[in-house]
Amino acid sequence: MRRTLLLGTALLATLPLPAAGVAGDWAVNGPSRVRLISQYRVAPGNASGAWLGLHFRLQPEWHVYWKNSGDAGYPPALTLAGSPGGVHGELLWPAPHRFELRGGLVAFGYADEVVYPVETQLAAGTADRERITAEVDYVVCQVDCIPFHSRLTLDQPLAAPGREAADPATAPLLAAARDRLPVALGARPGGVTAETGFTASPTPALTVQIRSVTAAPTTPAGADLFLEPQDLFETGKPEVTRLADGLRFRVPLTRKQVGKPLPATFPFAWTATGLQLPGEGNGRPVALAGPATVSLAAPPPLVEVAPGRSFARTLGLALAAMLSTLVALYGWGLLGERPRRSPARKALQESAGFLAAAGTLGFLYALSRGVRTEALAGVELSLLGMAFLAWLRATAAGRGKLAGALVVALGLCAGAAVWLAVQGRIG
Amino acid sequence: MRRWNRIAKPAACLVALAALVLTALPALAMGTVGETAPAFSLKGLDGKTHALADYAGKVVVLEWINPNCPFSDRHAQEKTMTTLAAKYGEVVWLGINSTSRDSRDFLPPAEHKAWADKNGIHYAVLYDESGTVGHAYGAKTTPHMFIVGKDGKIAYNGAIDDDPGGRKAKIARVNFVDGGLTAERASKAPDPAATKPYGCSVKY
Repeated sequence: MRRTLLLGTALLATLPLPAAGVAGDWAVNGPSRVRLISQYRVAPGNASGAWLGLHFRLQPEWHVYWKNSGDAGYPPALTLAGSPGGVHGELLWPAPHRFELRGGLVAFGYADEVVYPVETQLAAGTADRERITAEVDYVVCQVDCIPFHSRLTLDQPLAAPGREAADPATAPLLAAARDRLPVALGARPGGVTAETGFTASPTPALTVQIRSVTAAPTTPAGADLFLEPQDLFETGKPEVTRLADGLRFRVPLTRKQVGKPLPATFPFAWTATGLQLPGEGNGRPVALAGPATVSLAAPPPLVEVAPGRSFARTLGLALAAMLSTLVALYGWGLLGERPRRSPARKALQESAGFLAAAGTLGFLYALSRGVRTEALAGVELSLLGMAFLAWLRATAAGRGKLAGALVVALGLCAGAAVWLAVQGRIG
Repeated sequence: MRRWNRIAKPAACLVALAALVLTALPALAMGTVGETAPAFSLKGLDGKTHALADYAGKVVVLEWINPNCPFSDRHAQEKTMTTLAAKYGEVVWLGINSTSRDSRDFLPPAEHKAWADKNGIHYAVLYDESGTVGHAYGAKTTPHMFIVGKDGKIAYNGAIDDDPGGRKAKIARVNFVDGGLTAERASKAPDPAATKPYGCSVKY
């Protein structure tokens, strides 16, 4: 019914308008057309909360953008102007859709038809009409993207407050668009709450958990989460999990820049779409939005991989240092007595031991440039422990239990190195 | 002793193997600023093969380009890139076209070359039809700009300037690559080092 109504009003809106019309002329730009519309056929002068709309109609498969456009494109920009005293207003953003493009790229925006609502205050005065002009810059994309600039005008008749009249053609369009605006979380009664969090390992991710909502059955794409652009991270596609009493969105993050420490906190804004609220059984999907700040500092990484150093390289260096220490200990005969060794072979093995020891120093040096001092101290301690156990075993020759202890200690050291490295993985 | 050998040798081998495998794992490269720029070797419109390694020790600018994208075309007509490439003569400027052969935006090299000549583009433009290099850098738009520093690391990733619609006067635009290259000249890090690129999506 709503769709028919929309279609009907949309068709009506394309008809030539009378001179005193309250929708501006369409600016036709390639596959898109855009105009200004007003809620009122006759608006109350000095009305606060008069709604205008930036109305787009697009050819199939073309889209215009949400305030975060995704990987390409950009959102429309609108500058309003009117008579002295001015018309002010900012574009508001209905719940967006996700468009998956080739090559794993995404766009966030609107296809077919969209009205971006603009809440304005019309100028006070005695004039019986106001000419509103708007400069709009936007880009429309399908496979190609085409940028456009248009100057739009709208002649808004005015009347004394109380004598206003809604426009039957455009008021429903604007009402439908306003229904699609995300609702601020706090403004919605009924126990809907959200918790946000950040996890650093195994890979960085942001979670938004909304209580007391379900995914609206009428949205084919299901519930979705959109974040506003920010500098720190690239955001991936959210994984949506249904909980007993809500929905959980997990957004994988990739740092845009390494080598700079992360700030202690990360403020962001989220918009969740395709939701159904408790006690609202009409099936109309609702979008919720909220600001949030998560702490990036806790838990602190034990090993912070330095800029330009990969996690795998750091872990490899730690293991290589252990391995070369083991070779050195073996060469020096500290891993057990070497009976019947020829003097030449003994000398060779001892030289190899010194070489391996030099190798350990080299690996430790390389490691020292890639990790924090605490982590380096940990690796060095474990090497010292290995040497101490080997010495113990050599002095108490023949006691097999010590050999076992050495192997266990080695295993523990290697395990600790892996654990430290995984803890320190900060993307 | 024998028992020791039975335990220690396999253990040592295992540790060595693990170390080898882990060090050999490639780092995740997505054009992250501060990471080593992914290596590539691509054929250019000039018929020569250009590898990033050929320009080791130099500052390299990578510009994702698609003549059929109005944003690339506007910057070509406005000489945004060619002016910068001339201003920083010591810098190696490479255009990379990652448009897939299946895309309707794909141009045969001869047509691409005609477009480049018409717009005075004399820097090398490389073809990456498979999109491998584009994906390795996480290139999203045309134009999407990268500065690779002398140390071979990505120093800047993002938009060419702050004017997606091209509505500002040229003088009023903040050109991030210009700023980044000035910083590189002074051996400083570009600031900002990462911005949101704008334009058409890369036609992978």
